[in-house]
Amino acid sequence: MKRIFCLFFCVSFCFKVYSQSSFSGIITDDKQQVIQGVSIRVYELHTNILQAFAISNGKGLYRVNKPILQDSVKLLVSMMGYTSQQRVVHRSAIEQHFSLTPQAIELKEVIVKNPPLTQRHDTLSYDIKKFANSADRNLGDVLKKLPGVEVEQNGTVKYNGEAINKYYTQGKDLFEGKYKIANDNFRWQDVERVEVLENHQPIKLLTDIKPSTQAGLNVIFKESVKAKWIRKLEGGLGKNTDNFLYDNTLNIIRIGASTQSFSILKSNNVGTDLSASTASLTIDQLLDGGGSSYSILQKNNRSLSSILGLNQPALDKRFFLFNQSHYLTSKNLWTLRKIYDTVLNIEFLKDKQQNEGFNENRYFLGKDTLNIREQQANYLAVNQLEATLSVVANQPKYYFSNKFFFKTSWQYAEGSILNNSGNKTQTIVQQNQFDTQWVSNELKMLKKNAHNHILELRAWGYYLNSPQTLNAINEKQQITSQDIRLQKSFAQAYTNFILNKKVKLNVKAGIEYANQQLKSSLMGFPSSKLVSDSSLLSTNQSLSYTRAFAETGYGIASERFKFNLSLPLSFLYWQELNKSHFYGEPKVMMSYLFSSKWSSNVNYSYNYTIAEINEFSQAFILLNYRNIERNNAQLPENQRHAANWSLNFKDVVSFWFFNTRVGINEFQSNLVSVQQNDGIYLSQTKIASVNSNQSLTLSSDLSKYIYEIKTKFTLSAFKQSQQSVRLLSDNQLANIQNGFYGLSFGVNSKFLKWLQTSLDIKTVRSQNKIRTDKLDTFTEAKKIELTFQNDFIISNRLTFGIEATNYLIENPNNRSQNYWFLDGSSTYHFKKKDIEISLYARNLTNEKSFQTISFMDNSSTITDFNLRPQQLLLKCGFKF
Amino acid sequence: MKKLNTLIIILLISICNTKAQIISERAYMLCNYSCKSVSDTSRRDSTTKEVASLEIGKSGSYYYSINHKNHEKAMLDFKNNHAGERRKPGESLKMILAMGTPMKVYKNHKESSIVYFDKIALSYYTFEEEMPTFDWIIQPDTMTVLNQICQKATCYFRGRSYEAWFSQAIAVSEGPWKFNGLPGLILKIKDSRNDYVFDAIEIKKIDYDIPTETPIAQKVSKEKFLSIYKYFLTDPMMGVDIKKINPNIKLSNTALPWNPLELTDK
Repeated sequence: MKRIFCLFFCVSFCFKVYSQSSFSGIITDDKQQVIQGVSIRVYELHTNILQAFAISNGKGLYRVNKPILQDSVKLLVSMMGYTSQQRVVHRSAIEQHFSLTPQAIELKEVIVKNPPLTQRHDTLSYDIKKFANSADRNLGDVLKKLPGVEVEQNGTVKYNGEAINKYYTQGKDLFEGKYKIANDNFRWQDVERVEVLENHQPIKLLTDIKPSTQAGLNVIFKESVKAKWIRKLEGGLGKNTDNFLYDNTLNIIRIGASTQSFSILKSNNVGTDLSASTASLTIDQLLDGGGSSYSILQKNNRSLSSILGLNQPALDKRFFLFNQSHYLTSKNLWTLRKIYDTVLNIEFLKDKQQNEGFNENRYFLGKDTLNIREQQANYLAVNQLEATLSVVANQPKYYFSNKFFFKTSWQYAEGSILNNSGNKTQTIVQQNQFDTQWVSNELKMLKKNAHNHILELRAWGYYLNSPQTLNAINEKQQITSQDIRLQKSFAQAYTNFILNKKVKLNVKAGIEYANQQLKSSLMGFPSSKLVSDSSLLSTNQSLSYTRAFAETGYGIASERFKFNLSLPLSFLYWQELNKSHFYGEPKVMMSYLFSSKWSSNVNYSYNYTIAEINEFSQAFILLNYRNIERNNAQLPENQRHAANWSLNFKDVVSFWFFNTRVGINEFQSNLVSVQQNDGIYLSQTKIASVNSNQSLTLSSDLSKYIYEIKTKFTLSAFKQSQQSVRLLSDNQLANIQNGFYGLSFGVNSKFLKWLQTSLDIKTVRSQNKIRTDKLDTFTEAKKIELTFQNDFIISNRLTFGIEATNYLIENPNNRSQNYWFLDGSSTYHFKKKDIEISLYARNLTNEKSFQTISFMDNSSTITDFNLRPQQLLLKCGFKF
Repeated sequence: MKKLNTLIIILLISICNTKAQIISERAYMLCNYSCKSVSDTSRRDSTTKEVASLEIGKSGSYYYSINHKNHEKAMLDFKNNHAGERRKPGESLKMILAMGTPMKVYKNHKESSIVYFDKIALSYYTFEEEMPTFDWIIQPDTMTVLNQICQKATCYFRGRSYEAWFSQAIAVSEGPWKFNGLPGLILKIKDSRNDYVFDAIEIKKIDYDIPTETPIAQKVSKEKFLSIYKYFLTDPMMGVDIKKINPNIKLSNTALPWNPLELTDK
């Protein structure tokens, strides 16, 4: 017993000595003179994390007191005025002496006084005033200039190539994803800084448990405007060749720590698209399963039957949107009991849009090619009312959210078409009424217990009612009429328990019920060849299912490595079809931080998409006046494999940002579309057959900001290719390949104090290949876009701006199109009264129309879109 | 009477000046810090701001307030060029407000010592102490300051908990005030109560001698200095009833707030 005790003592002692091994030594120069003040740093060998350090004393001696646990470590010895030395040493080599060679002190003359970008852990802070100038109209204009940040045309903000997942004002989620209106109306002069929150998990309780690769954005206001009312009225009057123009805005904003209010009234007929302000730009990535109510509403936001319109050109809408738009929103936030953020958001949109032009469609139908030219004049009137009431408590140990969402919209579209195919011409008037009523509620609760384990509960449901009609009347007053009534209801509840240990384990179980009804009736379709059976003209279908699901998940979240694997299993039972299906949807996500600059993410997911009744209509549905579609009584079963990999680089010191992404998708379906035509009338019937589409996306973005010349350079490239199959007439199997390739380069500079200049060059090449036994087609279109913008800052009060855009488009029939657009603006600011007067001149070159080409499966369409004429607008704005 | 005697003794001591021993070498780098401090903890919203410089040589460093240096220069200019003249209204107040902290800190790493100068009332005092040991703990957090990636380190020192951010790329074990001992220059440091915040705002390469020309000061022990300082704070007029001298002066003998950097000896 005594021996065992002695042995144990000796072993413990040895272990103690071994575990406390450290380094010491003496530092001298090349003349063997001791050097004092030298830093000796001990780094973990692979991760380069600083483990311990020591400073040499007046006798040149150093001693690292902290015990070293790794077998081998890197020693780095450095001091200003001497060359640095590094050594990889085993921890048993306790004595380490160094001799340093003197060198000239290298330090930039002045490193940087107050840099514009600082980083603290995962938060990057951009000092807004360092990037802004008096030519910038709003916060959105300044965001475009920030290194690593991009703002897309629809308002989406991206950080290092990926869309942000939250937009906060003073840390509060007032806008709930609809942040375009914020960036368009916040004055940059009121903003102190913008923070990018990297790897942002919006639920605080899940930080370090469910990692996120997306960033959040937080706008911090200046002390001088915090919790104060900012009121601004802007009125604009103008003229183009046809109409008087107006563009008015009233802003009433107050951003405080516990109460926030944002009310805007906008009204214009100058081509500013206000419907874009109603769109949510953030993606719900909370891994909830089934998505959020907003994403489902977006899917159902399009009429099944609609008028045949013109494809919108890839131009800024201010050039082609003939509108009369009115938009009112009031978003208010109150923090109750210090933790409950209550947001009431009400918005109303009344939007009228008109467009004119023609489509030249080419359909490859197997035996022959169908060409249709359609001269169009269309009108759309949208009325939309939305209300959201949310209560969110986002605490480190507790999360609660309840979101009630109501939307009603009534939309009327009318269009007249003069079509021409072969030698036949026809005049059609189309009328479409599309209404939507939506109500949903989402409740979510998470709580951490004393052992840091988490219990989650979620319950949500929605109801959608959508009556739709489409009438097509020809010159003989023959009416083709389609009536649709679509109703959907859905409820889901689940509970999830997360065992929060080193390896996170979660167990989830829940149930879901959905009921969908479709009443459809088609009358007077001109082609009896395509609709020979009258029983295929109307349907009254119901489709309901119950799904029970369970999931186990595993996660690891260390400082560098994050891993998440979830294995959900579902049992789905279709009531009306008395059919069941059992499936799993595995998902895996990994991310690795190589260093503070380099990181990489990889993920794979398999999804089974539960069929929607609108994909399962057994009767023909009139998609537009000449296209019908039905499902040949086969329940759609769609599956998707998606794999993505990304590599990211950022250096906030030298302002380099880079990312490259690869995405591979395979979409498998049990249905394939069979196409038939009778003159210009086309029918598509989905029949049972294995069908798979593949797509590959490659993209790279590089951004560099040079502080000394206040210039941002961006370079982007992308490649997208898709492969699909389709059955053309005579059962010809067609392989369809679509390819898109793009390259863009941009410079935004304020090198000179009086000049803000930007240059953007974009090239896009689109290709379409169709191959059957009898057909082999290849169509290609090219577009080069060059935008050059100059803002002359004469003084803090007076600016002049000029923007020139050139489009060079090469269509498949080798008709080259060259367009020039020229806009001008000038702003004068009366400082004393805070009044701003601006003059805008648009389309000075008076381009009349714009032509684009688009590909869709086995068809290509050239669209000629009429543009807004020259216009002049005088605006006056003041704060009150 | 007792207080008056004390004042006389202090004044007499200040006449018998000595000069503390400080290092003489060339400085190769200068770091300017923006310094914010709260002198009265009951009024945390009222902060004092000034800019201080740290001149760094191979064996030591010199830390001083630029505001105070400018103030002393202005006082000297006025004395030399406008002797006997009355200052313009408001000019005196402006000079007092911009005077900054008179404290000067000379670090001598060879001798492992610090020579400290500070002004109490009208006189400078100096004392020498051993270079203090800071038990820094390296934290994994990083942040950029002046475009340098900085590592976080924390420590407890003489009554306050500090959070420091140092740059490993600038391999010099220095920092503002007495702070040092990290494997890189401290670019930001603050205490947990935000009473004292030092932020680097500029780093320059320089090549001139660290000034050895120190103010005429009375050499005392650190303990003696603290007792004089505490006495001064409790009675800023040093026992003199100013109203007896001039009843029209609206100055009271109330104590000044006590919130120094060093709250305890250890």
